[in-house]
Amino acid sequence: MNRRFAIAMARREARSSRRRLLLYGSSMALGIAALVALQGTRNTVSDAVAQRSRSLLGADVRLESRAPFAGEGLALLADLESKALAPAARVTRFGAMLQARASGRTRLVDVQAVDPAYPFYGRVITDPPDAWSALQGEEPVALVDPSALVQLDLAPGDRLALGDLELRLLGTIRKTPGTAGLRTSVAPRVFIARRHVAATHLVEQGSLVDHHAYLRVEPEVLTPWLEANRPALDAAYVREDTVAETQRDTSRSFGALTRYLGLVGLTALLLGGIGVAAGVRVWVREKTETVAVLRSLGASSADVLVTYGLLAAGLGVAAGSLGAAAGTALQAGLPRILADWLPVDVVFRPDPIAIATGIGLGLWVTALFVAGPLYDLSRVPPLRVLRRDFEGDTTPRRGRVALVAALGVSLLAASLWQAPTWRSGLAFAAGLAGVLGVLCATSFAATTWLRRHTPRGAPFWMRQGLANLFRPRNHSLATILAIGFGLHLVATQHAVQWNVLRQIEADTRPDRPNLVLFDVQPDQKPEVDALVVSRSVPVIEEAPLVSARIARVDGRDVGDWLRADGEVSRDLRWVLRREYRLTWSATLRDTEELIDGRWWQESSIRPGEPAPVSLEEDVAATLGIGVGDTMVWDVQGVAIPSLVTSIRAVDWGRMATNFMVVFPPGVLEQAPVSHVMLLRVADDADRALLQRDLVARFSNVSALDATTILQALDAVLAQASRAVHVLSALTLATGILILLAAASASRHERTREALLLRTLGASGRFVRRVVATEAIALAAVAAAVGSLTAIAASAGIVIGLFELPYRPPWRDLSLLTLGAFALAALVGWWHGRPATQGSPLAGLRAAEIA
Amino acid sequence: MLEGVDLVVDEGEVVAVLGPSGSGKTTLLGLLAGLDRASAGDVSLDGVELRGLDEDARAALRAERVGFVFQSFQLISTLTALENVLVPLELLPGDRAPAAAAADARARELLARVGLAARMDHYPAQLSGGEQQRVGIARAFAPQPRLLFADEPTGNLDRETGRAVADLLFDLNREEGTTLVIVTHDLELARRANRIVRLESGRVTRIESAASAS
Repeated sequence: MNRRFAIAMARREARSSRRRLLLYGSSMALGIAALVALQGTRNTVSDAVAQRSRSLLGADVRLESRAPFAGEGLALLADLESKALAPAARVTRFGAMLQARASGRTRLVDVQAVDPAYPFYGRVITDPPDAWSALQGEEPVALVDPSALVQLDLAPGDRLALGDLELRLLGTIRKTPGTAGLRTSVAPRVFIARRHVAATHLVEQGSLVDHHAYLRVEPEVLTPWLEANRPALDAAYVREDTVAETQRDTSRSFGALTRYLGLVGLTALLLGGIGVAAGVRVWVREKTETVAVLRSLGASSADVLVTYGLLAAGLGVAAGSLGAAAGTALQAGLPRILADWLPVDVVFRPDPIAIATGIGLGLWVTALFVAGPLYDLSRVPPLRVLRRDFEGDTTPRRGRVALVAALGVSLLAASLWQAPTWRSGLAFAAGLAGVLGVLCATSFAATTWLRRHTPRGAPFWMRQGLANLFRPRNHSLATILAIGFGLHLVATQHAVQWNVLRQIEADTRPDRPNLVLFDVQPDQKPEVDALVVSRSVPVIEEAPLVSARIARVDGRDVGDWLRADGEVSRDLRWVLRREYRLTWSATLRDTEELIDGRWWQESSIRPGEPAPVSLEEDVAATLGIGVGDTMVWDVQGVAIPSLVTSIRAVDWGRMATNFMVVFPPGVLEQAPVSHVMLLRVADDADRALLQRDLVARFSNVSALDATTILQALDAVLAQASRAVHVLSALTLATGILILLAAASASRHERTREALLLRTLGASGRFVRRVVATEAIALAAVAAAVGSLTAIAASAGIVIGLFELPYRPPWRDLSLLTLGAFALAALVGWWHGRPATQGSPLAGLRAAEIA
Repeated sequence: MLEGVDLVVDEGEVVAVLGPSGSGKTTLLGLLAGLDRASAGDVSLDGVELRGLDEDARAALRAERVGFVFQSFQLISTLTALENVLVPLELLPGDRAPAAAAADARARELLARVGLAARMDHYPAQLSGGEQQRVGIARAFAPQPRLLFADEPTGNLDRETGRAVADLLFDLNREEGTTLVIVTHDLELARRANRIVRLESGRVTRIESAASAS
């Protein structure tokens, strides 16, 4: 190989092809930019989380219990407290209705009653700034999330009622350690001093309350203590959270979010790679004559390979660098887009690893997509200088198979690298490959159909324009992939979101409940019923609730099970330790489906025998049990033996009374019970009024307004779609760049043909019609393919993944399709324009020099 | 398709291969220059048997010993005239490759010799046909090849320009002492060679001295 020649020749070729190659490369740069920005943000956040890990939790360890610390739990807490650097800071957390005295509005809130020492690490930022310390004063005061101000029409200084406690609103909470903004969307937080909890009279026996104890303990003391006492903590139903776990969970959840978004970036990169391949293929074809001359003058195939390989490497590095620079700029803005998900404040800093990854990706993707055309170029036979029609060897079959395999493996590796789980990585890679395959096949089918069915009676300009779609050096596939894939992505995402939201909105139909009442005590039930009846409000559903835990499964003690080392998975641990809300029912609900066993009859309960019980399928699967297995339930100190007689599938997506565990009537009636009621109050004002009156008379009863869930979901989806929209926009922009690249790649040829036609006597109008026909036909095929595959993909996701009914959003899809069509047609028309203007001879000369 | 062709070209000789279109002239040129492989028979180039050489070995042989002038000029459109002439110098093997400055001087000298001193930085599309072929001639002579193959060198030029280009080709050939094989259907051009090989339907019909050709 002649290095001197290769370098000199590559430099000269770069001079003439620089702009074109940069255009091809830029189609890859946007995908790289998205990945660099996300990886950079992920790394920055991960570093920030590591640096401020203790302030994420607010302590070194947190002990949590559903019951007040007592007995063994209290002994364990006291033991750890004796080893701690300071007495424990306690937080009592529960859901309750907050009422604004002035407006009378009520809202379910997340009450957090804190000790003065909370938090040990990190700062609580409030408005006004000194409000956190003022929380612990003599007067009962509260701080709320900013969303509560709007929802309850509040202003600082207003009076509030929380159960029997009267409070004054001090101000708002801007930031607490380790809390992402979105968590507070459904039930805004309300902070009060813990010593005022008793005065609310909301924390009674059977109330749903979390008791937290925050402790400052040296790590060298904490770690062995936890190791030694973990079984005892499990047995006392006390959960522990450490700094390390919080750090890991926080990094993991934010990492998962950015990785999901990264898949969109990966799609843009793949699309860009296809753009590079399409552009380079045309460019390589144009270089065939040059290479034939070089070969006749004595250049070896290695000389050619290195010369053009250097150019390709330059293209890859340029695209990678461009993408890394754009990605770093995007990284600076990303925290604003993802603000509600950021667990910590991050300071922007360019991430060298992300930048290096970006440049590496540019090189690798270029290598993958350019290897085939480059190999073909190096095999151009020198005899072509004498005979233009002489074809040499093209990439042998084995080489092509190897290239496709390398591409497939790379796509899979990149998907696994980017996806949060290997399953989603596999699914993503398979889906992407499937969509690309369908787009390629459809493109081929559409152009073949056009070739066979070009209307013979059509005017010559129309036949000429349509023929351009399948003639040699056409850019049909590249255009269909660029526009079709871009449209496919945007339309699929929109159709999925539209269908999911439609389903949620369907839950607000006149026959669906829109107000849920929790914690209605048996003695309150008749009065609540009377109140509801007096307002002519229909009760859609109601169910009794009994709190219980699992004590034994098939004779095995849950405590022993939890103590067994290495056997208990995270999910199983949760299922074994959690507190269940049991109910009883004689019939199956319409959100339930029996998938195994038999539903009970009146005769099912026999005194002295275990009571029949029905389990939800996931709980049964996690416990590894089925019909015929036995369980013993600890219903607030009373053991209830049961026999699993059926397994149910539950549609958790519907607003209904859904339960993991259901007993037949006649088993739980004597246990401490509360009721949940699902109501339908059509009018917003009536619903607010009913909530106000309920809170006034039954302060322990919580009401959750379905419209607030809808609003919160809407906000979450809006936030999520904002991030996805940014990345989809990048993909669409990539598609436009590819469109430009593909059109410019074939422009030379098309312009020459059009100018020759003009030289032969065709009018400018004739050529304009040819150009327009080609642009419109290609745009129509691309838009049709993109939207049809989007309907298929979104239907698959909505029906298969979300298990919801599907309906295409025809209006929006039509608008998107029209937009993509107009864009593709415009770009095609714009590129064909030079052929329709000026003198044909001048045009031919210009085309020759270009 | 060639059949029964038995031809020896001596060192320093100028041979014209004359024949109508489709007679096999270009096929013969391709085989002699090692651009194509013979399905049967042997071709020896400057003492090297081509049969046993692969594509890259034949390319190396061409780089070192062979120059070309083509009917359609075959200049690289993205390179200037000077760069086109530099290419074969850069392709010379290490021991024969001139230093960059020397290669540049040689290319400039040759372009000046063919009358293009003022057009060195022009691209092919900015040159007339005659000028392009002069660049082609300068490029062919640049690496001082032992053999030069010219495929219809005046075929794309008008008579007057063609004559001037042919003069240049023969003058340079004389100065450089190169063996020259010209493929042409132009008897006037062929007559300027030492010998004329007449080809028809792939067969050599006559080999005659140029002086006696009619």
